[in-house]
Amino acid sequence: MRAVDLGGADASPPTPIGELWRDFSRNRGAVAGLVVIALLVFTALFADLIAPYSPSEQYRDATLHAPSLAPVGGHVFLLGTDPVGRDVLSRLIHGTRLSFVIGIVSVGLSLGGGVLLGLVAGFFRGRIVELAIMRTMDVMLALPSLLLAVAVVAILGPGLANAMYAIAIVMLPHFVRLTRGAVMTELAKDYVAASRVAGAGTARLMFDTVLPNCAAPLIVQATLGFSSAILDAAALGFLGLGAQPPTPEWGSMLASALEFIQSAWWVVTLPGLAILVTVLAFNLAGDGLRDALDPKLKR
Amino acid sequence: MAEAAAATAVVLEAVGLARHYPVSTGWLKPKAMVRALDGVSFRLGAGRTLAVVGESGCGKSTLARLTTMLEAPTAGSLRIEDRDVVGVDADERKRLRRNVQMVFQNPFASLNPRKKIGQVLAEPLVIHGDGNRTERDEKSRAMLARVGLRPEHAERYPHMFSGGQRQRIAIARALMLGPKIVVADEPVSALDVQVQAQVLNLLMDLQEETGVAYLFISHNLAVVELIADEVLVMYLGRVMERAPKRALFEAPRHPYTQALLASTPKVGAVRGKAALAGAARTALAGELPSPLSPPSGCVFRTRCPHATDRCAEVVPPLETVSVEHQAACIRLAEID
Amino acid sequence: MSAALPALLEVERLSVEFGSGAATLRAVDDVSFHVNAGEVVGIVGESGSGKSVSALAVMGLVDEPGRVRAGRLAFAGRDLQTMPAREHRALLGGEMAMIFQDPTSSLNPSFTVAFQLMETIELHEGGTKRARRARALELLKAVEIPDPQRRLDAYPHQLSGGMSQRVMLAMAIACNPRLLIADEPTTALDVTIQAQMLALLKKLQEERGMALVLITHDLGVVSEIADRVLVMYAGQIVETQRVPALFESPRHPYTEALLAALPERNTGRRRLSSLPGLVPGAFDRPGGCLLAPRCPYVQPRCAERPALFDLGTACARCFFPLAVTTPAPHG
Repeated sequence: MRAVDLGGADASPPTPIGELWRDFSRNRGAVAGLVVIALLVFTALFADLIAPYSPSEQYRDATLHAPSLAPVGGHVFLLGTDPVGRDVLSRLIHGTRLSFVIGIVSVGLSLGGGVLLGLVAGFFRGRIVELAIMRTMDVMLALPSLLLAVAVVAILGPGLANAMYAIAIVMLPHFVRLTRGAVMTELAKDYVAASRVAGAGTARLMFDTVLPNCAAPLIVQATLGFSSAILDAAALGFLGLGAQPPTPEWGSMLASALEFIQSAWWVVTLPGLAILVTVLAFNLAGDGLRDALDPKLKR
Repeated sequence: MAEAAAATAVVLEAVGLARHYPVSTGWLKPKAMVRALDGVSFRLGAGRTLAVVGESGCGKSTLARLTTMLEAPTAGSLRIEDRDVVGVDADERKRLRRNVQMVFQNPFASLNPRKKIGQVLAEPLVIHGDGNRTERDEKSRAMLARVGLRPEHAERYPHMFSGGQRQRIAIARALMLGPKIVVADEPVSALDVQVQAQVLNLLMDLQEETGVAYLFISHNLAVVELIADEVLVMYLGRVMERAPKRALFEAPRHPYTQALLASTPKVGAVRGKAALAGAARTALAGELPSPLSPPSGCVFRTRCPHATDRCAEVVPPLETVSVEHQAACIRLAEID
Repeated sequence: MSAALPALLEVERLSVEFGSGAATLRAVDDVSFHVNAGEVVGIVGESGSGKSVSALAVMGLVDEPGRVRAGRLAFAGRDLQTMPAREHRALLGGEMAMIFQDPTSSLNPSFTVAFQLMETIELHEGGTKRARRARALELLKAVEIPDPQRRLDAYPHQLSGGMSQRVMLAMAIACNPRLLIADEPTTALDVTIQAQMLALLKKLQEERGMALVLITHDLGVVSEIADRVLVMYAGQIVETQRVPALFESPRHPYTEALLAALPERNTGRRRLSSLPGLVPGAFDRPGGCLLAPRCPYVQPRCAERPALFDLGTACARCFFPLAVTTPAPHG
C-alpha cells in the first residue's frame, strides 16, 4: 500500500465564498459601499411600505414646499415637494426601485449577450465569426456612448424600457472584449487542454470549463457597469429620452427641475445626491471586489 | 520493419510524423514554416515506457499534442491501438480518447481552479457517459485512494494542495477512463527531489498494476534512466537517436546524446578545474538555432564537434547501430 | 570552520516572517552563516526551505509584509542593518550583486541591452556615454555572448533564455562585485546551456576573486562548483560541510534522504527511496526537530529543538548525527 497520509490542509478549509468575504472585508470602503447597497436594496424592495406617500400623488396646496418637519395641511414633507406638489422623499424612495431595475436589466442583458459573443469570439479565433463580432464591437466603441444611446432611443422611441435596451447595447462591447480577453488567456492553460484530452466538446469547454474561470473580471465589470447604467439612465432622462413623467426616476426628476436650481434647491439637489451616493457605493464595492478577487487569480 | 512480431502488442505507432506551423513574418511577406516535427517514427509497446528526451525546441511538446490528438499531424501516420487517427471524424476521435490520456508538466495549471477535485476526476466519466452519479463518485474516491490521497479530499479545491499532491490528482484523472497509453509531459520537472521521487514511484507502481504504457517526455536524463525502457533523443524536431535504455546510457552513438549526457551535472563527479574545463569542452558551444530557419542537412551540425562540410548537404537517415538501436548521423563509423 | 580573516559576509540569527497571528510563517528561522572572500558557497534545499528568502533578506529586498530580523548582518565588516539607505543602494549592484532565476522577467522588456547595461554602469561608475558603451561591450564579451556587438542593441524578447541570463550576469559583474549571489541561475535553462553557464560562473569567479553564493535545489550543480554547502530545510540550516565530504558522508538525515532520492543513486533499484510526508508549512510545524515527523531515525529526544551542533568538519542540526563514512575507493 502506498503511504497515504500526506499532510496538506487537514482542518476543514474555508469555502471560496468564505475566503472572498475575508479578503473583501479588509477594505473598509468596500464594506461601507456594501452596507449602503444593502440599505438601497431594502428600500427598493419595501418602497411601498417605507414611502410616506404615493410618488405620483399631487398635493396642490403644498407645491414647492421646502424640506421641513413642520406639517403643511396635515402632511409632513421631510424632503419637501416638487413643482406639482409631489413628495420628494417618496419619489426618491420609489426611484431606488427604478434605479435597481435599470441596473439589473441593462447589466443583465449586456452581460448575457456580451459573454455569449465574447465566448464565441474567443473560441473561434481567426475565423469569420470572430472578425465580424470584434469589428462590430469596434465600430460601436468608436461612437461616443451617449450619442449611441440617444440614437438607439431615437429609433425605438422614448421611454424607460427602451432606455434600458439602449444602455445595454452601449455597454455590450466592453463585456465582449473583456470576455474574449479572459477566454484567450484561459484557453492557453493546461487545464483546458486536459478537458479536451478527456473528450470535452466545444460547448462543454465554453460553459463548464472556461467560463467559471473568467467570472472574476466580469463580476467586477458588472458591478461597475451597474453604476454606469444608472448614470446613463439619468443622462437619458435628463434629455427627456428616458423615463417619462410621472415616473420617479432620479435623472428625469433632475431634468424636469433644472429651472428651480436657485429657487428650490431641494428638487434638483436631492435626486442628484441620490445618484451620487448610489454610484459611489457601487464603485467602492466593485473596487473592493476586484481587489479581493485579484490575489486569488495570482495564486 | 525487420523485427519479428513483437512479444508485446504495439499500442502507439508513429511513422514519419511531421508537424509544420505557418508563421507570419510581416504584412506583405510570405509565411514562414516552423518545422516543429519532421520524420518522427517510433513504437510503444503495451505496458512499456518510451522516454522522449530533448531540450527546448526539440518538438517534444508538439509530439505530446499530436499523440493526444489535440492537433493533427501535417504528414505521416499515427496509429493508436492499431487504428489510424489521422482524418477520423469527431465522434470516432472522442472514442479513441479513451485510450490516450495525458499528465501535464505544471501541477499548478493543469487542474481547473473552479472545480472540486471530485468533479475534476469525474469529468472524463461524465463526458463519455460512464455510469451514474453514484458509480462515478465511487470510482473517483477509489482512484484518489490509489494515488495516495484521502476520500475527503474530493470536496476540496486544487489550490489547497501542494504541487506533488496536485500531480497525483492529475495522474488519477488521467487513469479514470482506463487508457492504454498515458502521455506524461515532464510530469516531475516542476517538483522537488523528494516529491519527485514519490511521484515517480507512484507512476511505476501504477504501471505495474494497470499495464498502462507511458510516453514519458523529460529533459532530465537521470529520471529517464530510471523509468524508461526505450529512449528517443530529439533535436529541433528530428530524431537523433533511438535505443533501449541501457544501450543509450552505456554506449550513446550520436554526438548530441553524448553531449547531453556529459552536460548533466552529477553528484560526486570528479571536480576541479580540469574537470570543469573538460565539461566545458564537451558542453556544446553556441545556442539553439531558430526553428524558423533550421540548418540545412543535419540540424545538429552547427553545434556538433564532429561536423564536416558534407553534413550540411545531407539529411542523415536513421541508421541501425545494433538491435533496436538507431542514430541519425552520417559519420557514425568515424566517431568514437 | 572559522576563517583566519573576518568573513566577507556575516549573517547571524537571521529570521524572516510573513503573515500574522495563527498564520505566521517563519520562512527563515534563525539562520547563521558566513561567506569568505573568494569562496563558493552553495545553499541547497527544496521549495519552502527558505533559501531564496534568506538571500533576498541579506540583500535587503524583502518588502512588507515580510519582517526581517537579524542579530548581525555585515558585509566586509560594515553593518548592513544600520547603514544609511544611500550607502546601501551604492552597495547593491556594486560590491554585492545578485542574479535571479527567470531571465525573461529580470530584464526590462522596454529597453535595449545596451541601455540597461549602461544604466548600471552609470549608477555605480559614471563616465561618458561612449566610455560606458565600450565598457558594456567589454562586459558582454566577458560573459561570452556570441556576436556581442549586435546583441548590444537587441531587446530582451529577442534573446534566448541562456543569452538573457548572460546579460543579467554582465549587469551583475559590471562593477566588479566582491560577492555575487545567484538564485537558481540555471534552473530555467536547458541542460547544455546550463553546463555553459556553470563553467562561465566558475571562470568569472576565479578570474575576479569573487565570492559566489549559489542557491539551487540541484545537488549535481552544487557538487560540481561549490567549496562548501549549506543544506536548508523548512527555514533552518540543517547541515553545513565542505563539498566532496558532504556527498560522501552526509551527517544530517535530511541530506542523506536528499541524496538517496536522486534518480542517479537509484539505478538498478526498482523504486526510489523517499521520505514520506511533506515539508511543514505554516500550520503544521513540529515543536521539536522539524524533520522528526518524517525522519527514519527519529527518537524521543527529537521532540526538543536541536541546535546546529559543531561536529568538527561539519555542522548538523541533529541530536543523533550520522556517523562519518569513509568513501569506497574509486576504481
